[in-house]
Amino acid sequence: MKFDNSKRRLFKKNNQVTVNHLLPWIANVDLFLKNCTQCGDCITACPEKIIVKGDGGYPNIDFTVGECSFCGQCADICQEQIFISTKLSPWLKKAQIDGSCLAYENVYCRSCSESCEAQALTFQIGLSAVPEINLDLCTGCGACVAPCPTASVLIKELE
Amino acid sequence: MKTEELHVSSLIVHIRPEKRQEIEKSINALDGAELITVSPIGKAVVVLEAPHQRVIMEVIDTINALDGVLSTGLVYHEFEKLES
Amino acid sequence: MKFTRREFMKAQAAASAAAVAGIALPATASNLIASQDLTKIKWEKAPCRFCGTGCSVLVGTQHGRVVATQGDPESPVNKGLNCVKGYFLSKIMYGKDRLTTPLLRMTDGVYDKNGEFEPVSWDAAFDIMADKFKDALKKKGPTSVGMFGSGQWTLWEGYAASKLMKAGFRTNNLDPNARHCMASAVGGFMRTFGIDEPMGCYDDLENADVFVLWGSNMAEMHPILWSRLADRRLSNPDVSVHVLSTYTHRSFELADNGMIFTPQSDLAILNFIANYIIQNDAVDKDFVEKHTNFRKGVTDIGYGLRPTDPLQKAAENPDSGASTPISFDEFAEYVSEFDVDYAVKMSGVPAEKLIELAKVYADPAKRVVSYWTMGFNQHTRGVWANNLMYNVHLLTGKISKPGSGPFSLTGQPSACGTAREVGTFSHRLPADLVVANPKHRAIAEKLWKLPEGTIEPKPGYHAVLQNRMLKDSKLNAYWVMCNNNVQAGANINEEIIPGYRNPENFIVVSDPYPTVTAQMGDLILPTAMWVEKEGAYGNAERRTQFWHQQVKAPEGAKSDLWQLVEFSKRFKIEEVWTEDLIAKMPEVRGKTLYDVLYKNGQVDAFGLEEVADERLNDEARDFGFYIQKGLFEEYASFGRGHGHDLAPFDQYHEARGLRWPVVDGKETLWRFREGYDPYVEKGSEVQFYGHPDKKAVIFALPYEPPAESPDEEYDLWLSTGRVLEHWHSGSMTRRVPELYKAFPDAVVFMHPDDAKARGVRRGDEIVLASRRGELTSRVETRGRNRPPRGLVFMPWFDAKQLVNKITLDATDPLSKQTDYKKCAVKITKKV
Repeated sequence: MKFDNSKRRLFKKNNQVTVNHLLPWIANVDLFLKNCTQCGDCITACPEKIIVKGDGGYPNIDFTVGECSFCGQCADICQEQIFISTKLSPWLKKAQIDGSCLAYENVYCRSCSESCEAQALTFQIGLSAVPEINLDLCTGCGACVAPCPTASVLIKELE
Repeated sequence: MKTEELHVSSLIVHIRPEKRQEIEKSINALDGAELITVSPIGKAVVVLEAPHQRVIMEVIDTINALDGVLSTGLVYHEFEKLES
Repeated sequence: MKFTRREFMKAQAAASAAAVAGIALPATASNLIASQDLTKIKWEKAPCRFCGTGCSVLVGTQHGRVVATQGDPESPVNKGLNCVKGYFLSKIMYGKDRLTTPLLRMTDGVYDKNGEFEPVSWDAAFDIMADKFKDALKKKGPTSVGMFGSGQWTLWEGYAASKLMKAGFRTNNLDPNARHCMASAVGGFMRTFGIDEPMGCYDDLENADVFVLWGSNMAEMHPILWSRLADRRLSNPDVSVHVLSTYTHRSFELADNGMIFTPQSDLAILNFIANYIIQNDAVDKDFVEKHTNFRKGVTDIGYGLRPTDPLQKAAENPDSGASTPISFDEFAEYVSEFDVDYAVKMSGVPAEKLIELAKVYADPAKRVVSYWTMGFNQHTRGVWANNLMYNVHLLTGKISKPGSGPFSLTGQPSACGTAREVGTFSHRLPADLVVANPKHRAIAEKLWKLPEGTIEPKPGYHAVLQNRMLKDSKLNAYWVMCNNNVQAGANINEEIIPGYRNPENFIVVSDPYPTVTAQMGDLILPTAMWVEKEGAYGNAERRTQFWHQQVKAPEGAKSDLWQLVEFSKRFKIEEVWTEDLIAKMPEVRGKTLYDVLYKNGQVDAFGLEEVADERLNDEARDFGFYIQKGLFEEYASFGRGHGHDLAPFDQYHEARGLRWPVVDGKETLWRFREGYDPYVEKGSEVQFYGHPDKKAVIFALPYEPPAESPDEEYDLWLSTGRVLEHWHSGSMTRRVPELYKAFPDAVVFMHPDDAKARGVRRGDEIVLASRRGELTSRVETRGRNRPPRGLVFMPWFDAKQLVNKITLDATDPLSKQTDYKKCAVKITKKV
C-alpha cells in the first residue's frame, strides 16, 4: 500500500527538524520553518545532491551522501525570506568524532583520513592512528562523514 | 521468513559525579537504555538495545547531549538476527 | 526464550564495558554472566583472511555464525591491534550473494558453453568436469589440463592440489596467483641465497635504527606492521624512515627522507648505493670475503611477452638468468659508472636525498631494514631489483641480525606458506625442490610413494602463459580455485577473456562468491571459506599459523580441500597414467587417484579419534580420517632436516604460530646467523647454506628500460595498486557494507595540473585508455595518493572498473611476474 510519507510525518511528536542538518546560511530556525514552502528548488539546485527531503518534508542535508561545497546555489534559488547573505559565514557546524570511532578500539582504519580539504582532520600516528579535528580549520562541510564505516563522525552546530 | 535484528551495545559514559542522579534518570528513561552502574569517579556502564544500529547511534547522541555527560565510549557491539 | 537471550547479550555487553573501565559490576549483573555458558560467545584464534602480515584475530562464534572478531592480544604479530579489514572479518562470509550450489552453463538441461548458469548437483558437476578433464587428457595429454591456485589456499589445500596435478594428472600446469605477487621475490631469494624467504622477522621492527621502504606503501597495505614501525620511530627520535615510491602516499607522512623517483629507476638508485658504499670504503670486507661471491648476469633479457612480440624478438638473451663469476674489483669497476649524477638523471630525485639514503646504508653504526612489496616484485626486472637490494645489505654485512636486513613483505595470507613453501608454482615441488632437477623429483616420488618418472621434468605453464595457452587452445580443461584471475590477471581483453570463452576449453571456477572470474567460467563450484574449515597459513616472517573449523559452511558449499580430494575419486589410474608408468608399480592398477594420492597410508594415517567429538571438521568426517593432519605431516617430511623444519601438527593448534625452521621445538628468528639458526655450524658466524658453498651472491646487473613508457599519444604512466579497505580484488571486502562505504568505487588519482591540462576536475568522469583497452572512471586530485605530474594511480579492487583491461602483460623474464606498475595510458574527459 502506498501512503504519503510527508503526511504521515505530521503525526510525529517532537520538533521535526534537527538543527544539525539545516542548510547553510540559515541563521534562524523559526524563520526557516515558518517561511519554507517545501518547494524543493534547493534540492534540485544543489550540485552535490546532498539536500534531501527530511523530517516533516523540510529540506535538510544528508552528509552520508556527500559534502557541502558552499556554492550558495540553494540560497540563491530560494524565493522566500530564509537565507542570509552568502557572503556571511555559512554556519557554525563542526565535525565531531564520537567514541564509536574504531581508533579507540585499537583498530587501524583511517578511512576518513584524506577526505578533509581544509586539512582540519589529522591523525595522531602511533600504535593506533587516532583522528583529531582542528575546530579552527573545520568548515563543517561533512566530507568526512560518508567514508566512516561506523558512522562515528557527527556534524554539529557549535554551541 | 522475516528477520529482525537485535543490537546490543555497551558504553562507558564519563559523567560529572554530582549530576549522577539526574543522568541516571534521563538515561533509564530512554528507550532501550539501561544504566548498570556508576563508579565513584563518574564512570558509568550503560547497556543499549535496539532493532537497528542507527537507533543505537541516535541514543548515544542523546546521551552525549545530556547535561553533565563528559564523553561516551562504545565498548561492545553485538547483533544477531532474530527469526520471526 | 527470547527474553533470556536478550538479557544474556546485555550482560555480556555490560561485562565488557566494566572490564574496560576497570570497575566492578553489581552482583546481579555478574551472576547473570556466570550462568549463561550456553549462549556465551565462543572465542577462538585464527589468522586474518587478508594480507601477508598474518595478524591473529579472536573469532567470536555463536549459534553457528561468526558474530565478532577482535585483535588477538596474545599474538606476537599484532599484539591486540587490528586494521579495519580485520575488524569487519566477521562479515565476509555473509554476503547476500554467497554461492551454495554448483552452477553449470546449460541450454535445455545439457551443458552448453553459450548457455546460462543453472544449478546442478555436486555429482552432476563432478561428472561433467571429470568428462572434460578425461577428454583433454585423452586427446592431448597432460599438458592440456591445468589449474590456477592461490596464496590464500590453506597449506593442505595447496599441497593436495600439487599432488593431484603434478602426480595425479602428471601435469606441471599448476601455478598460484602468488605469481602476480611474489614470484620476483622468490626468484631473487633463490638466485642470491639459493633458499627462499626472508632471513629476518618482524622483531626487526623494534630493533632497527633506519627503515627504508622501497616500493611499499606499508601505511595502507600492512597497517599493523606500519603501526609497529611508527611506534618505534616516534618513541626513538634517532630512528629515521626513508620512503621511495613513484607517487606520494600515506607512508610519506612519517618519512624523514621521502623520494619520488621515475618508474624503473630504482635499479639505478640501488646500483648507485652499492657504488657509494664502495667509494666511501664502507664495505664490510671481512663479511664479503667470507660469505659472498660475485657474479655478472647476462643482460638484454626481454620482457616475457609472446615470442612473436617485436620487443621480445629484439632481445639478445630472452629469458636468460645466466651469470659468470667476477671478482670484487670487477664488481667495483662495474658499479663505478652509477654515480650520483647518473642516479639523479635517471630518477629525478635530488642528489642530497639520494646521498642521505646511501649514507644510512654505509654507516656501520646504523641497523637498517629495507622493506618492499609490489614496487619491486611487479617489475619487468623484479628479480634484478631484489638481487640489487641484497647487494647493498651483503656489501655492508647488514643482514641476518636483529634490526638489520632486507625484508620482502607479502600480499596474501599464505603466499609464503602455501604458494612458496608447499611449492604450487609450475616449476616447483615442496620445500624449494624443483621439477627440473631429477634428484628433487626422485625425493618427491619417494615421499609420495609413487613410481619413478611420475613427475614430469618440464616446468608447466606459469600464470601468464596459462592464459596465452587457453587462448591458443593448448590448455583445454582448467580449474581456477581461490582467486579472481579475470580481474587480477593482466591484459584482460586480449589475453584472458578469449581463453576463458574459447569454445574448445572447459573452465571451472571455485569461489564463495560470483566473482568476475566465476561468471566468465563454465562451471562454478560454491566454496567454504576461512573458519568454515580447518586451515593453516604461512605469513611473511615464516610463521605458520593454524586454526580450527569454527562454523559450518552454508549448506551446499564445500572447501577447496574437499573439492580437490573428492574429485580425485573420479579418476582410475589407467585413465591418467601411461602403461609404462603403471608397469613400474603394478599394485596401483584398478585404483583411483584418491587411493594412490590420499589413501596412501600416510595422508590417512591419523584417525578420527584425533578429532575431538565437539570439534567441527567436515573434511575429516567426510573422508573418515584426519586428512588435514595427514597431509601436513606428509608435507612436513619434505623439509624436516633440510632447513625447512616444521613443528609437529598438534603444536600449531596451541601456539600463536611458529617461525620455521622449528628445530627441537624452537623457532628461528634470524636465519643464516650462528646463535639464532640451528643450521649454521658452530664457529662460522654466518652461513648462507642455500648454496652448496654456503655463500650468497652479489650480482652485477644494470638498469634496463621498462617494456612500455609514455609517448606522445599515451602520455601518462599508469601504476596500479590497492587501498587499505579492500583486499584480494574486493571479492570479500566489497561485500562488507562498512568497507564498501569507506571506499566504494575505484578512482584515478592524478596531479591537479595534469587534470587541469585535460580539462577535467575532481569527480569528473574520464576515459582511461591504453593500447589494449579502456575504462570509465572518476578523477581524484586529492586524497590518499598524490601522484607527480605524468603519472596516474588506480586501485584494482573494483569489479566494475577492470583496470587490467588497460595493463600490459609484460613480465619479468626470470620470475614470469607481471609488471602492473608501469604502462602508458591517456586520459580524456568522458563526453
